[in-house]
Amino acid sequence: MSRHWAVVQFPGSNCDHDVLKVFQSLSKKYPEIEPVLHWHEDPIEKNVYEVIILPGGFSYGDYLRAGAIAKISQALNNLEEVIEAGAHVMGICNGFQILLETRLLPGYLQVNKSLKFISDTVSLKIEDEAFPWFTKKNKGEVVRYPIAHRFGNYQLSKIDKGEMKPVLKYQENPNGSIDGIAGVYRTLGKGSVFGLMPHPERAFFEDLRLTDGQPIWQNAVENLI
Amino acid sequence: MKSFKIQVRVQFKDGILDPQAEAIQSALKKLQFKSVQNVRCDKAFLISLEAESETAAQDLGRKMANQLLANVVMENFEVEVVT
Repeated sequence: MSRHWAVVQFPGSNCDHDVLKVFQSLSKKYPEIEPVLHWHEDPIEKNVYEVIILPGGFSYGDYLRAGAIAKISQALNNLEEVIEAGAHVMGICNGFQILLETRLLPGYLQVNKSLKFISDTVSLKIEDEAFPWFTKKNKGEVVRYPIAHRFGNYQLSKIDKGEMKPVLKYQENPNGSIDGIAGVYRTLGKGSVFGLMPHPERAFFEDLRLTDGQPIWQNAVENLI
Repeated sequence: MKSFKIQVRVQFKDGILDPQAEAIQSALKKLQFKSVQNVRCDKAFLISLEAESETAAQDLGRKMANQLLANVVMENFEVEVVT
């Protein structure tokens, strides 16, 4: 059975091909994986994609608010049902901002505490398992992923906390996020939603001299295939 | 149906970082407007539309704010009919 793994492409996405290249590389070893670039104007039907990535970038130029216009795209129209039917969605950076706008994850992102755009590589602790991305074995591990954002200061009220698990935390908080949270996860029906500011797709290829992102993608392969 | 112009004003809730407002406030102080106590930067959307009544126009504005113009997790909004 073929497994379609999709990267949704919005006008202004700029990490779409980075993720696609990761998927293409994985599909060489695991031919069941079929990487797909999915244009935002096309609806996503239930049970078509096993993995859906909302990539980083500046969808719609960050007009109005980061992620606010992407949220109402055709591709994301039935996102909740698609996830409940079994899709695993990961929103990276701008993709995280989009997921927060859809309210499928709680909280909001405000401007970094320093008010600056931060482009850096940071250490992150894996706080919990998150199927299919992190296993029990990963809990407590520290990984280094790149970050690149201005609106990455994650906040949420106490009331919202029950809905999700913070699964990734900064070792040294770069942006003022509450409890140093870098990524949040929740299951939804048969699927799951994971939003994170750091970029595991930019830590995959050996040419980039940082391969800490490999396990997260490898886990997805092993857990799903 | 009648034509209306509505204004949807969106503002950050208390406690959300608004560096733009802070920068403007300190610039006003630099210009010797010493009595300035606080500056807030709201977003205002002026929308011309057709509706059955003033109330219906306002309702439409509220729907637009809830669905798109404001993120009610971090922002409040007000809708008024301006003409």
